[in-house]
Amino acid sequence: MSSDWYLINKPPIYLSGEEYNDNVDGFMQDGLSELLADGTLSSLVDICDSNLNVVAQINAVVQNNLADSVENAKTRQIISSIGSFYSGCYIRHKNELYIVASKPDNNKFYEKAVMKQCNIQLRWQNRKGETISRWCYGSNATKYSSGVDVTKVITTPDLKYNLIIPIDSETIVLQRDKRFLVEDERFSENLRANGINPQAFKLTQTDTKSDSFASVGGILNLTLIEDAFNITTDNVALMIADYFSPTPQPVGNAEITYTGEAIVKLGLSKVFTAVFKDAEGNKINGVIPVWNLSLLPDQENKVTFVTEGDFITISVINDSVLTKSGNNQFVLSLEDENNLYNSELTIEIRGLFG
Amino acid sequence: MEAYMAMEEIKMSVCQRLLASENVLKYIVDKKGDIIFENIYPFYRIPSTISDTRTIINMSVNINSIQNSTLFSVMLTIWVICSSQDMKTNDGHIRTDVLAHEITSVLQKCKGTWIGEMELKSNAEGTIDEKYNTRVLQFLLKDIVVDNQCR
Repeated sequence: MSSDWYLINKPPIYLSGEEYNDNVDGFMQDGLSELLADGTLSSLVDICDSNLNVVAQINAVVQNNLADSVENAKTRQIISSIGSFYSGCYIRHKNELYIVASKPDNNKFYEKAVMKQCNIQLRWQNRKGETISRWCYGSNATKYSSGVDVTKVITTPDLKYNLIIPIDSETIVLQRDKRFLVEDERFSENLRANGINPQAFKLTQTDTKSDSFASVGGILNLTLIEDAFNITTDNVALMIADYFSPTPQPVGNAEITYTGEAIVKLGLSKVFTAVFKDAEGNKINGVIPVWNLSLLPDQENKVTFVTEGDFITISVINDSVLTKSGNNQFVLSLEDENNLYNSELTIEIRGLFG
Repeated sequence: MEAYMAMEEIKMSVCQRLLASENVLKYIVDKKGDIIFENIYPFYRIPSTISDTRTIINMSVNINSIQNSTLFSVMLTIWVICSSQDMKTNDGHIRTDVLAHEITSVLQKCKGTWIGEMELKSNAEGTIDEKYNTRVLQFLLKDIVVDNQCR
């Protein structure tokens, strides 16, 4: 009885030593692809962005699952095909969330990186008051101390965390003295029932450089020290320290109105009007429009405008270059001074008789 | 009255007067409740770890000088301790300053086993650590009579 077998590709024939790349192309990549796709060690993992949106699913080998120390048990190595992940991305593996903590690199065959298991969720508000949430890996930098800072009169908590968190547009603007609430949310109800408040922490160090090498992603190192919980300003229900009501968002819209079509003919002008409306469609008076024209290089100095009140008059000089395909459109954008309302309109340039 | 009883009575007297003052209480806690051993400590060092932004008053009473076998003077020291997060009051004052002022107002009128009024000797600003600010008040209580028969 024959056994099941197959041939990945023809075997290498070593002749001069210059066939190395052929062998890699012929065997190694096929073998790796097959290992990742069907191998027992391989798993399907989710690559997630900072907001935990799944951006890709890849097959990867996750190593170091069977750790030999408590510290190592929080660390994994991930192997997959080149270009699969980046420093600071999240990886969901076996329903656990990890953060890629090192810059991935490859040996021309496969890519490898170190990842840490996320254990702390930070929540805060950005300047607009929007709630931002990021998972991070935190290690206790004071685990071998008493946990309290004793002075002559008063004893205060002394707990310090070193955190790694992805660099993105929301985390990069975190500043010293930003406060956070942290607790194991599985026990929140029990903690509240026993009159125990969340632990409050204050950001004392933001290191944007040490672990940010890549053009994509990167790691931000933060240091948090325990701070006093403030029942007046800290919102326990939302787990946000120093909570403030978000900036009211506009309920309405901006419109650019005009007569006829959104067309300006060569050598002529056309007037466009800014209209700001509330949620019921009623016109809002007193909003000052801010206009902007996004012009192509060939349109510079040939498309001009003048504003007055709610109106903008756009003029186009008589130059047939402006009617050629690729040059015959520009974008007019409208917003208000506070950037609460905005609108865009694509305007076409046509010949006088077009 | 023995000396230690006199000192305890001073502490009780101070606590009672602080608790009776609406102006003092409003700068310590927003809600009324049992604040002895939570916000007002009748001794120098706070025994528990403070992990919130509560405002604290603690005190020590020390015999400053013994005039003779029946009279002595006492130095009452009061620490007004506020979280540096919570220094600004709702009505726009600096919490340690306004609280020290209110306490001084209350205690200077306070009569007890001493002769005359409590005399404010010093009012000094400082910090406990990087998280807590303080203002330290020192009052002199003169000529407390010690009852030899009770010794």
